[in-house]
Amino acid sequence: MNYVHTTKVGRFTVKDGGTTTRYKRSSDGSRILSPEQISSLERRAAIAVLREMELVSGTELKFARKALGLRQPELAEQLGVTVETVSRWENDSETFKRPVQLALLALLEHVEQGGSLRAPRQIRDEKDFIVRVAR
Amino acid sequence: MLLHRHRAQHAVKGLLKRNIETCVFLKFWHTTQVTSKQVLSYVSRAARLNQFYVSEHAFESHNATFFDIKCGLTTATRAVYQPETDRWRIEGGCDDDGAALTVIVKFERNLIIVVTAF
Repeated sequence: MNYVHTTKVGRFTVKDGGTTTRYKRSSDGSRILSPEQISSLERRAAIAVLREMELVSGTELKFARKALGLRQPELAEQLGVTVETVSRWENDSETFKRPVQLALLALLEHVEQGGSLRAPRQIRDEKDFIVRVAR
Repeated sequence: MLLHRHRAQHAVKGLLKRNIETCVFLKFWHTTQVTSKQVLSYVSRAARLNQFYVSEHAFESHNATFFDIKCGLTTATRAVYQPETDRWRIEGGCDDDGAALTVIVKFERNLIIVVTAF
């Protein structure tokens, strides 16, 4: 049986009804989610928002980072930028370009498909974002 | 070769001992021998190892993500028992952004279940 889960991603509410995973239930009958199930739901919600929106806000970017289980320094290392830059993006102090959103989307899709996050090579320019995303 | 095998056996024994301690704790925590410090220690350890579940209500009704809840549980400093609801209030921790986070957990059938986080 498919259950519909609702996840709040910044300004958006994402409904995810595409899973047939089995759920454990607690003594009061309510469903309880395992870490893997929650992580997957959060990643899918972040993927949906990043894919649909042309440019997301800092709040949605922060949610996507947390859905990956990364701290700001770790995301900065993955994207080849400084920690301060990631912090400014998430606080909406600085706008970020579409390649950043695409890179984050690629990371989410990669992890959702069973991949792992490895130490990235140095990214020199925007083209590098797209090249790494395409792999 | 003998030294490596000895170290591996020692590591496995340590791991088994910790797992048995956790299982025993979850089964018998209702007894008076369990202290708040023990509860905090086991919950923090379980959180570091991603060994806890989250109720659907907690997941959908609060803005805290799994990552935030994990941060809150691993950095918590106090565990307070609530006898009226048979749950534990894990407080003193903070989420990934540094904001204070309190997590209410319950123990059922060898599981740690997060009921709510705020």
